[in-house]
Amino acid sequence: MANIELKGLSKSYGHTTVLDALNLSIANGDFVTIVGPSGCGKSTLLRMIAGLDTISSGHLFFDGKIVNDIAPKERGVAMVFQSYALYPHLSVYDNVAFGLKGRMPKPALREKVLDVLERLQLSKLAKRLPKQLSGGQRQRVAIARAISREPGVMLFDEPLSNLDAGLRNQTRLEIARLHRAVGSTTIYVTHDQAEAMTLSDKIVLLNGGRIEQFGSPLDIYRRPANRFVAEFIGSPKINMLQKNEALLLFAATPSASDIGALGDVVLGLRAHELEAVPLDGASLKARVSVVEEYGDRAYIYVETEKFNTLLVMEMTAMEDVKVGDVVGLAPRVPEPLVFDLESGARLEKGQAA
Amino acid sequence: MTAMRYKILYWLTATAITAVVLFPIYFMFISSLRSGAEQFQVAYFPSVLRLENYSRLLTDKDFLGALANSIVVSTSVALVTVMVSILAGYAIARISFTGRALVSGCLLAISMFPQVAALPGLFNTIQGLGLYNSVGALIFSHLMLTVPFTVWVFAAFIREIPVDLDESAMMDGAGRLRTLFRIIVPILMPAIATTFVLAFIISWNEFLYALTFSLTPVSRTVPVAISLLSGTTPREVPFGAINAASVIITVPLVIVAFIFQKRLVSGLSAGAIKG
Amino acid sequence: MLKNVHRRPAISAWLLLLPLIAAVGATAAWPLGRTFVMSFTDATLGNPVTSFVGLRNYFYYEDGQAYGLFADPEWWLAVRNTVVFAAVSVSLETIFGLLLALFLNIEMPGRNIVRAIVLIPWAIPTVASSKAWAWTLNEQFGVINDMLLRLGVISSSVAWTASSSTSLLTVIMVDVWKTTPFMTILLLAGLQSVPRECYEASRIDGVPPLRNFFFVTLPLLVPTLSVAVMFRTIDALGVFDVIYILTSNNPATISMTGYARRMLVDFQDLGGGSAASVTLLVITGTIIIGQLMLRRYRTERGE
Repeated sequence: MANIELKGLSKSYGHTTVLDALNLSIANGDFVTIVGPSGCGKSTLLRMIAGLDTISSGHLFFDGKIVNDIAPKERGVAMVFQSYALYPHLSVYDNVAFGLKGRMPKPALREKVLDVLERLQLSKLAKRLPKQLSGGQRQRVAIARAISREPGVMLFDEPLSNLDAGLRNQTRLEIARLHRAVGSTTIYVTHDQAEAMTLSDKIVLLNGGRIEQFGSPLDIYRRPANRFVAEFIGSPKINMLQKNEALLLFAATPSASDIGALGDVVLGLRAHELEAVPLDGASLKARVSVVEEYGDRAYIYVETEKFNTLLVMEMTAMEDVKVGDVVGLAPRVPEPLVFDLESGARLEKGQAA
Repeated sequence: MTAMRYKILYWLTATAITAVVLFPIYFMFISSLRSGAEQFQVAYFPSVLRLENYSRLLTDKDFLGALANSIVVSTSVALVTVMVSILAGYAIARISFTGRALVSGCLLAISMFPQVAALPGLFNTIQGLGLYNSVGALIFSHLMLTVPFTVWVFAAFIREIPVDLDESAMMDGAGRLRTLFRIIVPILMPAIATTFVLAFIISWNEFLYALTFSLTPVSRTVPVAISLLSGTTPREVPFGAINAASVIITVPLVIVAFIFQKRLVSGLSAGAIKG
Repeated sequence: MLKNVHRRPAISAWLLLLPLIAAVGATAAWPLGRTFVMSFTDATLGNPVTSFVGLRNYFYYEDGQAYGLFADPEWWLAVRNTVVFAAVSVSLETIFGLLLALFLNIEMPGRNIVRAIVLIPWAIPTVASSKAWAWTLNEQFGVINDMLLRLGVISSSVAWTASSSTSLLTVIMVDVWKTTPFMTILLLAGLQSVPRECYEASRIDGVPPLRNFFFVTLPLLVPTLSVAVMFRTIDALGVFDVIYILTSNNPATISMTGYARRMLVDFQDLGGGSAASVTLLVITGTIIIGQLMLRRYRTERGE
């Protein structure tokens, strides 16, 4: 178990800066997800924490001690690779035992390996070679290998990206359960925001080598630091409205005057924050352009001449809407998220733009 | 074309190719079974079966010595080559260090220059080391032919192993050497066998250095011994013996070629194409 | 502190490379350097004490008479022999190698046996195969003369390896037999790296096979082909064993390597042999550099 601190941590290759002076503090035992678009530097950050990539400048602390120059094996970290990286010539048992050899006497090692295999329901597969396993089983071996050393820090590099959808959900649950049981500080890299939202205590949202926001999933969802975060987290993607568009939508509500008073801003409304209302009395009408039916809910994309883009809104399955229908639009919430047009930063109520 | 006709055509072509490939080897074999005056007759079929040539060769001290020399030289060369290639190939494929491009560039250059370019210098060096006319001279000179090429082949094989495995081993607490010998080497066993066989074949078949650096039977390999079997007039050339000796050094390699066909092909092309 | 991390992998790399550097340094780099240096000295096999003679091993004038390697008509004969040998045998090998590779690329149960058989001429010792060919080509007892006589192609036995009109051709033929497999292996690997989709796409488009070969296969094979041709050309320019076994040091077939070795061993002339070796090295090096530049030029043009 360890807490991890980054102070001004940077990575650059020649003149290209991949990570730019990151500051971050991860508490002991937390499950932290690093999420961001591809090329944002999230895997590099993970590899620097692991000790696989060197640190260009800044400091990395484990439990208050600088570990910049400490080899991976001495950092007390374990990692689950995207490709699993199982040793193809070793059995499941030996894959798990490899990292334990020389660390403990033989009988203890054996007991330890068998115990870990048992915990991941791999006991029956102990003698198999990796090539004789299914994708999900390989994934479990990789996790077993990582937790066998009881690392202070567990690192996951997009561990679910090679699994099919059903298995991905199941493994996600298993990882969450394991984290609770093992309690290691866990850093988990993914590009999938659903994984980030469901697994983490805290999310690091990385973009272009900088941290856009660090906070709990709900915090990030409800109080995104800026426009990028709001657009990255949440599915379907948040609706972004121009000021005049928002005015039309909120015309009938008390916040209309507040919105009118804002400077140069864009306003964000999530799909579930919009609703379809009867046509008579609706301040805004729109035509249904696409319907995405999920059974329990549907996302409908509507267009109106007054708006530049399609708006998406969530409807319950009860409401029967077809492409081509015209519906009235109204907000479900008293006020939208407000972002400064130029900087993209979110403005709190009363904060002048 | 029907499938049947296609098949027949294929195997007719294959047979023709086989005939061309085996043509000299077949007659070499027939001749090796003939002795005395029979050697000097044109023969298309093995009408006589005499093992005299073989029994004489296999009791001849010089020939047995040459055979032993060939085995000692080729085995030593292959062993040293494999050891050097494992270490160097791993460094070149896996560790980024300044000078890496230079090292692999030099290897490529050396593996391409003509053998004779080093001959005078090698002669001089071997004399200086006191190795002239010894198997040591042959092992020494053959390393020049095998090592640069096999290191190149080996690095190509190692690059095919995902780096994740090395990193995973590193995370598991293994150092470079443990990673190399516990993870990379076991995975590369087939490649190691290939490298061994390639180096063995190159050394076993080598002629220019073997001929130049040996003076007496002490250091002769079989190819050199065969090349020295001759007579002053055509009627004195011991064709039967020459061909029997050729059969003896050819058969092991034909067997090897059959066993390692796929691997040799991949080894040769790894060295050539990925380079 | 940072340096530490960066230096550590470098140190372990050089440690791992140590055996290689020792082996290549002692068996290749040093001898090569010695050859170069000795080509400017009057070194002989028996006399290790040498003095610098400048370019005299290569060329010099004295009393209106030219001496040295470049003034030796036999050297130029060896150059001519080697160049003819390399040009003809590499061309033939390329054609046969390509045909064989295409044939071996056909999916057919049992083709691995054919592949292994094709490998044999490459795998067995050149001395053995050359001796075998020498035997079949023998003027009096060889089956080739016998067959051709029976078929009426020739009216009297031909001294294939001894007659100066046929010896070079004979040597080339044997070399083609021996080295076509190597070409085949490389080209086969090249063929197999051509993505299957390329063929399937053109099959769906209904492209006839021959057109398919010239417009899909061949262009994709060009990189492999050029590498293979370069390898073989370099190898062929250094030819020794086939020629030596079949025709000894006969002037009609002697190669540059044979010439250099003869100077060294028969005439004990280390300096002269070195000069010939260095010249061959320069010729080969020029070809390699030329080829590499051509390749870079092609890549830059995006071909």
